[in-house]
Amino acid sequence: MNKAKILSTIAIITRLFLGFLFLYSALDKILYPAKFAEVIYNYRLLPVELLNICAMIVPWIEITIGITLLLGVWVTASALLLSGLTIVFIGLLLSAIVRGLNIECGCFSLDAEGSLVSWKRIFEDVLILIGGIYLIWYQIKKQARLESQPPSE
Amino acid sequence: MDGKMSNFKTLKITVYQTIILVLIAVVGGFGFNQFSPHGLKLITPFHRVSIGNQRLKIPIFLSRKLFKPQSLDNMPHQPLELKLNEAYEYFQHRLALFIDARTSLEYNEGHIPQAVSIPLQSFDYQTPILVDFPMNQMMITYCEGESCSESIDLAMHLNEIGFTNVCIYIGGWEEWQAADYPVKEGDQP
Repeated sequence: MNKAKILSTIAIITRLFLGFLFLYSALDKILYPAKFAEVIYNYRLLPVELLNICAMIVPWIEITIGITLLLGVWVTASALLLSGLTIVFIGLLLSAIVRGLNIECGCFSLDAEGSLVSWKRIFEDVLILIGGIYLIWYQIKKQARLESQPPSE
Repeated sequence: MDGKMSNFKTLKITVYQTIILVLIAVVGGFGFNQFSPHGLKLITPFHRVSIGNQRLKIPIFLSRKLFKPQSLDNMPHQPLELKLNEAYEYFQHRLALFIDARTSLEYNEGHIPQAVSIPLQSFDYQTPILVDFPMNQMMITYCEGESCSESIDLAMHLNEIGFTNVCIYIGGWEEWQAADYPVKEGDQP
């Protein structure tokens, strides 16, 4: 297997994995928006009045990312959005840890037992961010390669 | 030069696509919320709570449907007694405001998450927590356990001042703790 083939395989696996992950993450939040609004409230960063709006939109950003990644449509834009969102999540988690908040993370599901804010959650988000950045890098490289190729006819 | 132009064009397209994805998410989010049975009010409803000199806004995480008076018209006006599983059901689905009738000290040591503290001895008809609440707000009062009566008295008071949808969780804090359900410490709901 040559290098290009390996990079392409990694890109496909990353894209599908992140696509499924983001769809899965959105599910609980869409089914229980009030609970998700409460999770956001517990971070104590957003004005109370905006909690519901945030709880309505964030899961749908995740769904949009999930679907586009799975379908392989607008992958660069989707990976860009994914990376931006993940950077925000990492910032939120860090701020919660710094302030000593022992709260539910709300990362992948709304199950309070297994997903408290912790360094482990930040590590997971960093891995996701690396995946997102890899996809952006791969897409740009692919685009450049396509443009540098002479027309076939 | 051509390469730079092409890069700029690609970047521009990517930014446009990202904006479109966000717009799709916004439309999807608002649209779904409108039709979802668990849909929320656009602006989070809250009540003002006074703790010391601080005036806090405590959000009410309830489905939009509960704010429609007609959906509660059939509820009995006399306080109902709830069992552990019923209280937990309301807690899980955020269908009611839990009110802790014990002392502030007991409340700070541990309470049901999201429950607000209205100690019976300090209850008066101007209790700040109650201002701004719809009169059909589903409320569940509780105290230490089966042997205490503060929850019943508080429920009756709430009923007297016109709240039409008050329940009493008789098992109270002791039973809730024994069942290993979520608890919270401190003076915050």
